[in-house]
Amino acid sequence: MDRLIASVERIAGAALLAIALLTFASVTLRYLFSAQIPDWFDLSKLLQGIAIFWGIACVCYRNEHILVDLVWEKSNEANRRRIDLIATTVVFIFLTVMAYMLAAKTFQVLQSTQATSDLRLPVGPFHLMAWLGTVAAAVLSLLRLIHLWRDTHPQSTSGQSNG
Amino acid sequence: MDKDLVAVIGFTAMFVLMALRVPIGIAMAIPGVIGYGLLSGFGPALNLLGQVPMSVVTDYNFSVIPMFVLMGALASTSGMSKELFGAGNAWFGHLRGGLSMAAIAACGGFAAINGSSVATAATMSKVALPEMRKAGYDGGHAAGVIAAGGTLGIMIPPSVIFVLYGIMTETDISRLFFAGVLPGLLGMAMYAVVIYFLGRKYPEMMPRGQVHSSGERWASLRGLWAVFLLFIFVLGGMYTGVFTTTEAAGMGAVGALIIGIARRQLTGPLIMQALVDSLRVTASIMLIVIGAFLFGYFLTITQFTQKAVAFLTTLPIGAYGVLALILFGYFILGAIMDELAMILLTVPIVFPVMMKLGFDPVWFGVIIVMAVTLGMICPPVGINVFVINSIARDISLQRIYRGVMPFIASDLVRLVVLCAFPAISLVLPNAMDTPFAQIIKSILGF
Repeated sequence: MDRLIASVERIAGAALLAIALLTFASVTLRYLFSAQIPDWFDLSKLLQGIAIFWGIACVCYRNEHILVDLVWEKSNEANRRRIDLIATTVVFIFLTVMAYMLAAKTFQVLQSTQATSDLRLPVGPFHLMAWLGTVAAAVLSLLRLIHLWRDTHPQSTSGQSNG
Repeated sequence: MDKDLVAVIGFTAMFVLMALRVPIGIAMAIPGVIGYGLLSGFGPALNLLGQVPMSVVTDYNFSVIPMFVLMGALASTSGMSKELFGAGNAWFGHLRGGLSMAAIAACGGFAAINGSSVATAATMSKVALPEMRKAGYDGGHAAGVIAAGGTLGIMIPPSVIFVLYGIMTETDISRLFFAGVLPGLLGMAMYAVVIYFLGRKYPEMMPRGQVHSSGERWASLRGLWAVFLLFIFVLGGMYTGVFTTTEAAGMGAVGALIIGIARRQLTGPLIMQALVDSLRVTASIMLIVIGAFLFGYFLTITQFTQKAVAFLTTLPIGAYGVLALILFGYFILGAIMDELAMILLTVPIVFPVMMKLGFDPVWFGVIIVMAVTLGMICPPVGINVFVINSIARDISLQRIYRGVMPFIASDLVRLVVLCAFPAISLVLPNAMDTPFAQIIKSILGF
């Protein structure tokens, strides 16, 4: 599983690099040749959506969310486990509902004729890829919950602590 | 249901969820959606949940965040932070407290190519802290210096907090960036003064280091061209209007990549690591943005903002009294809340108040960042302190807090100075409209 997540992170990270390169190429072409890359703007924001949702999925698995540790830090081991279980359950429920609600919107876009401005590429597949990231986030938070319940999660429970 | 009651329950639920270690973004989103549902029906509330996250993550304005994070990660990975500290050490290391000053200078320099305080503190903890301790510096003091120096990351441009503030308030982000330059430099100067006096009072905390020859000093500056080039490239591009702020972020990221590759300091695996790190940071931040948007819709429907504006602007304490009250509120919130969440949650409420009271939006952005800065190092929840503690486990939180206290006092003085003299913040952004700036732009042909 760790290797799969690492691969997902690398692909989503590469999407960030693609956005940077698209922006760089677009600005450079604009000033040097008064030209522009077709759809650079639409592609950048769609890639950004995919990268962020898949990034959230990976963050869920690694529990690297930004969170407040004030109570957790002062709790004993048993209470820490309880807090982690409650928090992960809340995260799982929220992400599941979010993925379900986003599904309706995503399938609407898939069935529509929405397309990018220049190349008229259908937007639906990009939305689908991004939505799959939210599904992965829900599934991975469930996986984390199961591991926590069995007390076998390989990842740290420290998160990006803020307290 | 009564709107005020629902608003109070919403805020309470949010803090309870945060205390239960629910990720901050989700702790904001849940009361937002449920509160919205209680007031206008759960159908519309769930529709909101089906639309807002996608519209936020595909909003191109927010690309500034991953791009500036990536620029900082690539710059750090390619060794620029080490070069900055090395140069500071060569020039100041022989003075009492010289390594502390070098660390502050390096933090300021790294802040110029990186938009996050946490990243600045984390990077400098790895680069400067071991050197300072090896030289016999007190661990608590050394960690306190880096915690304080790290806060420069969000004052000196580029800055993630300025970006979020600018997007939320529709204030020109490039003006905000320039507004942060002088307050950031003032902060560095004031930290250096604090270190000087600490060194005189507690000489045992910071022994003098070795004297470097003038040849070594000048040689240490050679590696800094990359930092200056990147800073001038990004800020200069925005200043002259060659590219927009969103474009500047992408240009900066690719600029850092090109420089790193050209200097043979970035290899494939290192680039990939920087990309993955940036992805994780971005995803964590954007989840908070999604939560803040959902909570914001809820607040709008409760009319909480309008009521807060009406209440605060009619208080018989004058405009600066209201400002002091708001800043006091930030100190309280900063003690229990993440800085990003604090900004996203409160700015929509306090910004209209400040505008109605006649304050400048750019200046207020700087003041907000100062308030956030204090929150990042003040007990009991100072994220920079926790980050350093997670890296240097043998330095206790108490020791780091003791070490950072003099710098908190310095920051409070700086906050008062910035409130009393808005020109410090506004002189550079206002200069963007002067004939001089226009001449530069026309020379460059833009």
